[in-house]
Amino acid sequence: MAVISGHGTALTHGTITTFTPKKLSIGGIGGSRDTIETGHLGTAPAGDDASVWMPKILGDFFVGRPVAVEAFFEPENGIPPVLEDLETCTLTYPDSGAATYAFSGGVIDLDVGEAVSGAAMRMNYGIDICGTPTFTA
Amino acid sequence: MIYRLLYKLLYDAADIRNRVATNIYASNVPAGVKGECIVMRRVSGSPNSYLESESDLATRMVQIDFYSKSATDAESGWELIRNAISGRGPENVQVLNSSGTESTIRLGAINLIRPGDEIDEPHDGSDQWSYRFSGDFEVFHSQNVPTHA
Repeated sequence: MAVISGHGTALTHGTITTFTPKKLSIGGIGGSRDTIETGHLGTAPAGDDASVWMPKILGDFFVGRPVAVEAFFEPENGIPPVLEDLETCTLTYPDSGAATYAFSGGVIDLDVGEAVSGAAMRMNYGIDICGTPTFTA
Repeated sequence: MIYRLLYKLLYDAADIRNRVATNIYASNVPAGVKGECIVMRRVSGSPNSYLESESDLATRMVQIDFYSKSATDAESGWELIRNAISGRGPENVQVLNSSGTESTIRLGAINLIRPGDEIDEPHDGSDQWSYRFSGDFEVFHSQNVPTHA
């Protein structure tokens, strides 16, 4: 095993393969799930304790958060596929085994940065995770 | 590449050409040069890299000095530089390579960052050709992407 830097990380679209902006950063796979409190009036502290840990059960759904991408905005390359259907997106990491994280996703937000004289133009967009990601080491 | 680009833009300006002719230099003034001249020095820069490589847009900070025989002449000369390049772009610029061939550089923008505001007095007691008026420009221009060959 070896620690790696992010340089060389790639994100590809399975269907809209012509959209390949120069990406400055790619967010990782992430999300969260809820817990449901099950404590009730009859949940009693043990022994002489004054309180008791709130019992909980895990929620049924782990909700993925969008994969955030920042890229150079090059007008001739167009904008992300904001109107297209879900497609398989693949994150490929720059380790020796080219580990991948593939997921069904779609672009849900877009923000083309302001045009200013002193900086290269950039854009930000997010690809929501709409299914179970598959990690391959 | 930045020097060829700026040399082209400065030399093409008739007012500058009439003052300094071909006395437009990169980094330092060659020995024996007399008269007014312009010196360009690349101070810093960024290749605007992304996750996979350098992009094809470079950002360079360049200091440009105008040397003359008096403070007012150095200042007026520097104003010609400002007039020729500040706020310029986007445009394609044809430059002459060392091989004699021409290539096209895409100039994104030239922004005046630090207006000329310094005047260096002569250091050796002479009052000739040693007055300098200096300013910094930020230049956005196209560059070749490394091939790692």
